[in-house]
Amino acid sequence: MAEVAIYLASGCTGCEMSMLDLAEGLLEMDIKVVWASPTLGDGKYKYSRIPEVDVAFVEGGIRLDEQESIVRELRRKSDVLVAFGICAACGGIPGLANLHSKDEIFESIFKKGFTTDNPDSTIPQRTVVLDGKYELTLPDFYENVMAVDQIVSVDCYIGGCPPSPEQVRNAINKILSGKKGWITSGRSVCDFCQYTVTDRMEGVNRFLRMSSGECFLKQKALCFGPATQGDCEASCTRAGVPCRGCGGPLPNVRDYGAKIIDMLSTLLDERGVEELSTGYHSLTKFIYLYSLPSATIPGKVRRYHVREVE
Amino acid sequence: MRIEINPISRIEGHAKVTLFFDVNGKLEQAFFQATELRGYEKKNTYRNSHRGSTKNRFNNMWYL
Repeated sequence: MAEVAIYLASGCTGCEMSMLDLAEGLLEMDIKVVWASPTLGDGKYKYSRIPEVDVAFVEGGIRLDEQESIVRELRRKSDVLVAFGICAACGGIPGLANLHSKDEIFESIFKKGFTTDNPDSTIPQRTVVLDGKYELTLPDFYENVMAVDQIVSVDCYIGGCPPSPEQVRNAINKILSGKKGWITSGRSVCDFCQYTVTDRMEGVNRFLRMSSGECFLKQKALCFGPATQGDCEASCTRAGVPCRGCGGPLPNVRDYGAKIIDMLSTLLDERGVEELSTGYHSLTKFIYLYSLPSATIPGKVRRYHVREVE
Repeated sequence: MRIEINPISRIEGHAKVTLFFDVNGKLEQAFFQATELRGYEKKNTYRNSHRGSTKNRFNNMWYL
């Protein structure tokens, strides 16, 4: 029986909940959870209390120094490290914060928030001493969100935000049988979608009208199905919503957003490209919604970064 | 004496509790800290609601 550790880094617990949604299916699997923290179990962050395990699941990207140290410790103590969910594999939605600096984020929350009541403009400090004797610490907040494979080597990746319970079941079985790399069928969302994919887009609309039973691309709505892993079995397009790419890139694709641009360049004509650039004024936050930290340019390159290079 | 419980496990998300005891072992002061921060206010600027929602990825501790 494989011993398993489950760690929630900068995720939102969605993937762990998806694992729990297997219900009795979780009992039938050949795993034993020996350390889980903080949601599925009562594990603590003390290094001595993290046991040696066969498989370690990490959910979520890396944002705090505490998360980085725990992930490094899990890498030392596990045979197989799994990036569980798109946040761990590619950065996920938290990775959109790479487009803003740490100071901008702190300012928007602790100084200019709608409900912020902070007359002294205090921002969180790493160490603070209250009343002269109570010393409190917080973990260090990094400038950028990172995917797990930017910190340690990762053996297996599972996409999805969150992966469906059935996908989790298949993935765990494949990992236990020794598969490495992206745990996926290798088929795109369009393979599972009920509509036939089109090879031509007439233009790009900002708004999607009620779905008329055709491919979304034919209805001038951006759908990322052709470039996305279809292990979700096209659950969004079956519900009438275009794919947004949470499944992650197909294997052997490094930069997901670049692949989307590649796909659009073959589908659109000049007028469509113009509509795309005028209609969508934050295209980065759209095409890199789930994969910005794993992109070739993993965030906004700011002026002071360039100055450091000089 | 100082006891740090990190992370606490009865919530969905990251937080820690620091307890301070006096010499008789009586609880003097207790602090609760949420350790995670996302910055959704800033991240969602210029994003339209119909273009893939991030709202269902909020966690009860981290929508700060």
